[in-house]
Amino acid sequence: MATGNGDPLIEVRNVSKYFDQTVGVTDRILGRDPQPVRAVENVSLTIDEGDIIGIAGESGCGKTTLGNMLVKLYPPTEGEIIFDGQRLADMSRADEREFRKRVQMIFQDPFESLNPRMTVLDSVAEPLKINDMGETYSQRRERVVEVLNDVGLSPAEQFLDQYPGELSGGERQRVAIARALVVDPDFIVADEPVSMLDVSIRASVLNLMQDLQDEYDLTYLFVSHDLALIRYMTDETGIMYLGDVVEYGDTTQIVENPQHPYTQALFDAVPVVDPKHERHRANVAGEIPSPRNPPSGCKFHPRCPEVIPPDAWRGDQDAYRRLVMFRSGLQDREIGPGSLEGLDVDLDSETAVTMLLERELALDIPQEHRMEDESPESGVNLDRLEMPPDVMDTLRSAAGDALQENYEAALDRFEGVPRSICSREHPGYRTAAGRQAACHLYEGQPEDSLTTAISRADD
Amino acid sequence: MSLLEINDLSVRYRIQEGPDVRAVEDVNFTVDPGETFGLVGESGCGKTTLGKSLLALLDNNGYVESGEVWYDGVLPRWEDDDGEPKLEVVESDQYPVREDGMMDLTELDVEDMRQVRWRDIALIPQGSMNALNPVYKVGDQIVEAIRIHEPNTSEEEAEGRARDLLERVGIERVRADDYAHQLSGGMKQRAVIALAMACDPAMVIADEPTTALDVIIQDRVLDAIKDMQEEFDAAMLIISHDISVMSETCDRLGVMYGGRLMETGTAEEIFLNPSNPYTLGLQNSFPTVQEEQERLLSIPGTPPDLSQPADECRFAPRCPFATGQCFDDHPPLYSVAEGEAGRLWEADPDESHKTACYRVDEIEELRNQATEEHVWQQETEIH
Amino acid sequence: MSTEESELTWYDGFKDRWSHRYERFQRGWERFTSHRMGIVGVLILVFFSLWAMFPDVFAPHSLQWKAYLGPTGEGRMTLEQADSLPHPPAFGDPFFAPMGTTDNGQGVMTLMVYSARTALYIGFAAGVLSSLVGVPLGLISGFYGDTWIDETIQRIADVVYSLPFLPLVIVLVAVRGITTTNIILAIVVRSWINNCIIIRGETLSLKEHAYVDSAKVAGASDTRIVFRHILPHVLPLSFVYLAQDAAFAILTQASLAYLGLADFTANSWGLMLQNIQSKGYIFEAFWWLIPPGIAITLVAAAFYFIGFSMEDVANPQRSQE
Repeated sequence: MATGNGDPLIEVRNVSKYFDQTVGVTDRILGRDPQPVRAVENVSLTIDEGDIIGIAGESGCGKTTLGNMLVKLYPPTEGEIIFDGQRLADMSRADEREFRKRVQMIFQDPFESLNPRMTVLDSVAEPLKINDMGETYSQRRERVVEVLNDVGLSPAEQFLDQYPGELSGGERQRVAIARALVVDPDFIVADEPVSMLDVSIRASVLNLMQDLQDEYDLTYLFVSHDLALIRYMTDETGIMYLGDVVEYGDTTQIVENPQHPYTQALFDAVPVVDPKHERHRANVAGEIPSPRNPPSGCKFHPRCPEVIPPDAWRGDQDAYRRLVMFRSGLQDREIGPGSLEGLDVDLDSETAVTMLLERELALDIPQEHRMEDESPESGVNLDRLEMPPDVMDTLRSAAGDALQENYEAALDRFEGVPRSICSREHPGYRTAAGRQAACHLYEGQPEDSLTTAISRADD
Repeated sequence: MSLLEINDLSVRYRIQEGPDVRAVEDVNFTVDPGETFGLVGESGCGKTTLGKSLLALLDNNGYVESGEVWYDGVLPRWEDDDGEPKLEVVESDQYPVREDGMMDLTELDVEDMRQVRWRDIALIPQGSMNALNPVYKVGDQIVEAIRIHEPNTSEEEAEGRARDLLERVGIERVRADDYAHQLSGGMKQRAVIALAMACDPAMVIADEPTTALDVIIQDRVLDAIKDMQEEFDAAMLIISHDISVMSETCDRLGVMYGGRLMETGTAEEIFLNPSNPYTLGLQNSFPTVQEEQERLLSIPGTPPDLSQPADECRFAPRCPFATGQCFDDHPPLYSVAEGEAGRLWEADPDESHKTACYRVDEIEELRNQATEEHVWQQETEIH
Repeated sequence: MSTEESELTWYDGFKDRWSHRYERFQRGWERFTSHRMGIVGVLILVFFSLWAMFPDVFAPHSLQWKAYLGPTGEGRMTLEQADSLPHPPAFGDPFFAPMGTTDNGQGVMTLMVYSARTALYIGFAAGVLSSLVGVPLGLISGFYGDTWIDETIQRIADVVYSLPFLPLVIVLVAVRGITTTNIILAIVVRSWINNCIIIRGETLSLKEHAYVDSAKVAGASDTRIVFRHILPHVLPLSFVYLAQDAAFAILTQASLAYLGLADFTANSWGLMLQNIQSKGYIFEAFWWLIPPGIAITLVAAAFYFIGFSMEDVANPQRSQE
């Protein structure tokens, strides 16, 4: 991850975090395994001194969890995190106290992250008191004044006795930054630092953070869903989806030339402040699946516009994509008699099967990517799909089963249909256009760990 | 004829201690049938209040202080056979209807307003993901809306329509039997859009429709909004602080600050030729994905305290271009076209691009200066 | 840095820290007094506290005084006079009993004033003790929510909660004797649970706030987080429950006294009621019956009123902060 100028400060090795591994009594009796929320799955990263790294993704992708683990708010379920050569899990009390002085966090909600019953002075001096920095009251006060001035709250004296409720959003966030800086840390994790601030205020806080980097010699990790912010602030970025890092590399390159289909979709979806610009909408179907039960293989494959049909597939890619989606819908039990609810049709008839297929093979994507006569209410014209006839028969039988709510049988019918590599295997990291992307589209020897992939690519 | 015409609208809130808060002051704009009009501004600028006041949905302590909201529609009891207002209604002074048949929504009583809501003008409120009642099924809520406003519809028909609507916004028909918590955020939002369209309104007011949605889902929802708008041929008034979403979705925009309209025009006019110091400041202050940016500019200072009455231009305390005149009176809307030619002329009501700034005759110069960081840093940094 | 700052003494630090706490207190007080109920409650308590603290000033006689006889207490009552006891209120010579007398000649008013002390003692003692036990346990239970610590405390609470109150009191009193202290203990054993559960609930939600996380990231130990960051939020709420517990204690003690389980050596209003019941004058001597009842009600109500006002201070609906 080298911007090359520093030594590795933080190493994340194959870290996973699962939440809620409890098993209910009934499930235990029935012998079911726990279905934890897989917030972060097998992530590896290296952050060098002086880097500004971004982690971007939508909600639920695990970026906040990753950030929280880096500041040791909770331990990873698997894997290890190493800070300046020391494993977080191995730290003694003394080591941990050192760690707390060197690693700090800025939270998203500036009001929530400040104790409403503590004055600014109390809040900012708190880390000093905890870490026994500054023995006398006046020494601590001096330091607080110094750091408040550094974050632009001048004259600092008039802010000392104020409560967070008396400050504006931007001022509160500056206080939060001051609190993070007061112990002179080396590494700061900023979790959505400006998302709750008004637009015209964000710029000043972001500029402040940039200025502070030089002054305090900081390394930053920005966690955000705001891609524009990521572009503006960071040198390198990782894009996360459902706990995986799907692409990692130089920020500008990722923005201008995304390799992973999810990254492409993300950047397609960002609205553009140029009324004349005809933006392409994101060509992604469906919703983010539950992190308790992520799809097999590449987690993005059921929604991916570029899902790879197996070699034996005789239809076109578009048809295969729809097939994958249909099967996924069967697995989630979302396709069935309810899909035709309220329509005047006999569920046992062939008409019903056709109607079901028309609707469920249609893609829930923006208009520009659909077929001409495809629409959410009338579905897609089956004849226009390039679906091999035997697969079409399979689909019909499966649809028939689904209408009878016989999902086991429906899924069984797909036995003979070849499965895409995207659903069978996790892609691992491949080098594409100078960075790492987890996608089968790209050639190369896949690496399991991002860090290994990167160091290999650097050689 | 425009669909909605807002004239000199002022809305205030009564508070316990102190003078009334002037949430909206002297706002003028129009919305034509089928067009998308956006109200843009940061928190506290009055846009949400304005939206609520159009449908008389203000809190108990809010009231319309002055101004009119003319709407091109007619109450059922005033209708004649052609759907136009009856002659005596138009002519008589006791009805709030003018010669061209438009009626003043601010003068309608509660019962009459109820008839206007949903049938003529629908609302997608802020936080609408929470506006779905959690104890009723989603489909039932749409059915209820249909049957309340079109009482002659049978239960079956309403159910069918509800499911059709859901399907049109991309939600499976079967989901009509789900409860709100079973739908994801994006789906809830789309369900609320379906709910708003249930009675085929002529206009929809959407308050922050995509805030809090992930970007891919936001994309999908914006697409759904566009689809529905085209299909139902409805006008839309979108209220949001998300400038990039607004620039994409709206035909015309109004930029609000401190309760006042600072600039109005088509999306192209405002974004390609911004003509108000506030708009200029905003434009340079947020990062975009498209370009490499060296440094963002920030507008120093804080938004104004609306409980203090002020005749001055509300932005003057923070404006780097403010002159003495700016502190005396809030500027009227001037024509930008004339301003670009060096003249300070008040705008005709029909003109598209208007701005409230005394210095619009120097607008080219101001635009150049606004890109310099030092220009904005003349006051203290804190905010 | 200027030379002035290096001369900041402990006193300045003290002043700095406390001046805004005082300001806070003032604001809280203003809010408190904006409710008439709270003021009424405070006034009532002040009134009774004065009785409790300076009984000699307010009582018309001393405790030894008996009607017709004066403070010497010699049996110089005539039969006729003895028959006429309890005596309705009488003013002026030969004796002055503004609220009349009891059946053995003691002035009702005198008894009332002297009993105020017991009532308030019980109220405050039970309330404070209950909080002292319940609040820390609630904090710990909530902070370590869903772990064995929490479970243990809650199960203990469950068990104690299910113990029937009256038998518990009787047993305690039988074992340790009937004193006011024991009564208080018995009451506290019951009322700490409510405190604990409520505080636990508050703590559970408070610890999810980001400032707790940020304190952890700054390296705060658990103890510090609980007492420095969470406790201040919970304190106003605990005052509310303190007030309620006090009221409960007073009522309970009165009831226990009525049932005969009170300390006979201490004068209390409940005891007065018990006496009147046992002597059989309920329907005749209303001047003896009504005042203790009203007094109990007033004091309990006063505590509740204060609690009500405190609740608004604790959870302001229109907060400026």
